[in-house]
Amino acid sequence: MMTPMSCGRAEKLMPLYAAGDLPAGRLSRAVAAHVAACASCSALAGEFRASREWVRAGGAAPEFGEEFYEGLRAGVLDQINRDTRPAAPSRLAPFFPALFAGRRLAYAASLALAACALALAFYLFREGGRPQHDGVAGGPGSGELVIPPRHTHATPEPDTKPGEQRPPHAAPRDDKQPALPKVETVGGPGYKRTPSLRRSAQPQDALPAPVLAASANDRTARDVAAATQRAETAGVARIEIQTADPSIRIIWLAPDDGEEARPGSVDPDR
Amino acid sequence: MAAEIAHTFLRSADEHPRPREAAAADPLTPLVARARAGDTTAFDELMRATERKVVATAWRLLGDREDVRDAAQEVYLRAFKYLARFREGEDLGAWLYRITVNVCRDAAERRRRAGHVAAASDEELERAAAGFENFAETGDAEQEALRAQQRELLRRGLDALPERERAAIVLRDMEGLSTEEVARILNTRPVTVRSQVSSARAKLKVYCERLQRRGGLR
Repeated sequence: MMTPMSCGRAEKLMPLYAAGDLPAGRLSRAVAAHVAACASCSALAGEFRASREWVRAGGAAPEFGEEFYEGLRAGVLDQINRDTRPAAPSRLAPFFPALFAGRRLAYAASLALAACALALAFYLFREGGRPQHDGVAGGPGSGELVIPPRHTHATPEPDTKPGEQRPPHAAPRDDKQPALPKVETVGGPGYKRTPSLRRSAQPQDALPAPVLAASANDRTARDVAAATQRAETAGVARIEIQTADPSIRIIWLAPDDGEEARPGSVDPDR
Repeated sequence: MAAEIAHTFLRSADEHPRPREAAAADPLTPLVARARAGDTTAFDELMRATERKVVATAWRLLGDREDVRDAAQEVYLRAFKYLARFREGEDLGAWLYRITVNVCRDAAERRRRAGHVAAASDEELERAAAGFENFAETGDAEQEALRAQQRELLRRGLDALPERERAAIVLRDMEGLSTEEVARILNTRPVTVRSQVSSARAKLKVYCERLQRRGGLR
């Protein structure tokens, strides 16, 4: 047996019921039964019907006249001929109709672009934040080559005193050429790991002539100069690494017998 | 041919056409194909076949002749521009309705921001309400004038509705589309359309009663 509907509930449904918009079913039958039994709700249904008729009658569009439509068409075609061309359908559209419907392709392209930008930003962030060792591996205390921060921008004079002979392999002094920085080994007092040493994009040919890394003191410089000279005559392999700072170059001497010689820590007696 | 096509598109409001069935034998399809290829003559025919419906809908949503002209022009420019995205088998009428509703929504928003919407004056309301009651007793010329007044008052009543409710009731009660069609055009669910239409009808009924009361005071 159908539960009687209250007037309040019927009133809420009346705008739809009066226009026949309530889906056929139990609810519709319940409202109909209530309206049939309730004079007030029946009158309300009549009011809704009259109001809807008024809206429909008032909503009849006026006659605009042929001139209006001709003007409309002429304006559209004129505009089209001037600057609008239909968007060319993509060749892929027939194969991926779902993708090309509406603006989905634009959304997908935007997403892909955003993902690429994020990936690039992440890569650059990682590359920028990571210290580059340029092949000089090893941790503190292992003989790793480090450059003290105070030397990264300094352009000190080479540690050759007046009258002192420069090493034969050292680059000829040139006023235009940047002065050499000092290079020291880990383990020395007060030295820290360099925050970042980047690989140089500069080709080796464009670098100044091979130079000898200068040490913090004259003795080290002399040691390196002597070792380099000996390496040249003995056919020792020489590896040069240019850092991001054009004034800093790392020189690596590797003897042929496989034993490595570390720059700045070459045994002068060897 | 254009007249036949127009007749197909301009089905009476009570028919409640089903777009997917209608699209199966849509005589506009060849015109769409030609217009897609850039044939402006075909597009001109397409406009002739559909312009009255577009203009009527725009008028119901905007209610101003000049605004309607601008809106209809914009509808066709957009239609031409995006014709390539119109899927074969889709109902052109529903597609144009969707563009029209969007264009009119933008236009109404611009108008609202510019403050062009004025409330009906008491005198206007009384005059129209009196005409509403004595409509059958008046002559042709007078009836036409009263119709114009009523249209204007209805437009103001519609303007007072929220955007979505206005579009829903115009498409459902004035254009005579089914709830499901309206839902497709407005990109929403039928239950939402029912709710919007119900709310709009209740508000317009109150508006209508207010007009009648003012007419009865004379």
